[in-house]
Amino acid sequence: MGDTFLFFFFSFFVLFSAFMVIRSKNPVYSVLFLILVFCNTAGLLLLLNLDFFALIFLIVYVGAIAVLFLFVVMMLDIKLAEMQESIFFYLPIGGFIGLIFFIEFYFLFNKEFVPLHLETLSTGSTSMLTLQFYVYAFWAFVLYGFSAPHFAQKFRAYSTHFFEQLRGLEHQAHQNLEYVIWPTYVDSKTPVEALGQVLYTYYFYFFLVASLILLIAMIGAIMLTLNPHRAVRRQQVFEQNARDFAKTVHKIRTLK
Amino acid sequence: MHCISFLHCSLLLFLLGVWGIFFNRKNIVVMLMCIELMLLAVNLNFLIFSTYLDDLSGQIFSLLILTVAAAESSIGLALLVMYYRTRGTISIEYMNLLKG
Repeated sequence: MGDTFLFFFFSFFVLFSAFMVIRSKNPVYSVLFLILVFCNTAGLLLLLNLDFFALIFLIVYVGAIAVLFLFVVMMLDIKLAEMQESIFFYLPIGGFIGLIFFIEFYFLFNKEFVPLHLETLSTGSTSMLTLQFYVYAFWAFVLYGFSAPHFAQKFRAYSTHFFEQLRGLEHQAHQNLEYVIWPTYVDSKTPVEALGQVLYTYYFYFFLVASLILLIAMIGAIMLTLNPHRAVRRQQVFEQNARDFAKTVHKIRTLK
Repeated sequence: MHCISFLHCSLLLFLLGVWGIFFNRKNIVVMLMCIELMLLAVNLNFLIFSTYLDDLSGQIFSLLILTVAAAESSIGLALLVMYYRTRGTISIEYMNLLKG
């Protein structure tokens, strides 16, 4: 139950912050909400037991990309753009295309990715459960707004029926199955060790290409932003050392 | 926790990224951020499937996508700085006038 609560907590904040990235007028706020998206995504990855990737996401996305965005946004003098008039102009076509995309994937998920033991039990029920997820989330959101702990609490209160049904399905499924837990029979490696072995053994061409991409990106960024024509005051070491102190400082007249 | 819930979360994140590019016609920084959001959603999708299919190659590709995302954002921001130096604004309405 705690797992489920954490999932809804993190996913709600991911989606809410992503929405605020789009909607906020000030780009600095957008960057800060982007950081919030990345942090909550790291939380979701922790729920998937991908601890290495959660930390890598934090380091790369928050530590490198978001800081880069923040630096550029702070460096450039950006006027606050009015987006109010364009939102209604593009809303119909964008909303329509987005709705088509969403519905397509909604049915795709419910048809293709339902695990077999759940599908054999009851064909229609998983689709209904996913629908219930959205209905409950929306209802709790409408009633209780953005205050997060309250929202999660009320969502849990509303959807106890949903979780009971889901648990019943899992329970039924596990009664009919006989399976061997293979990981108890093999010696295990740590995730990072396994990842490194696969990466350096089977995917080392990809690894080299990734390093080349990073190199090209570095050279490209430097070449783009390096501006040789602008007058930059540099330190002239020889001139500085060859300067004679006695000739440089003159005594013009004495004050009385 | 079901894999479908994670998939719906990443789907909605991708959709928000696409919508951000649709609706934000003024500010190119926010568009770059939306590209980052879309890459993040794709990355999350790879990781979810690699967990639920118990296959490690999804995680490898997630690392590669992470590399590409970092490179993309650095080059995009460098281009943005160049554009700002040339024109003094980052509005994308007259971006087709940029020549030379």
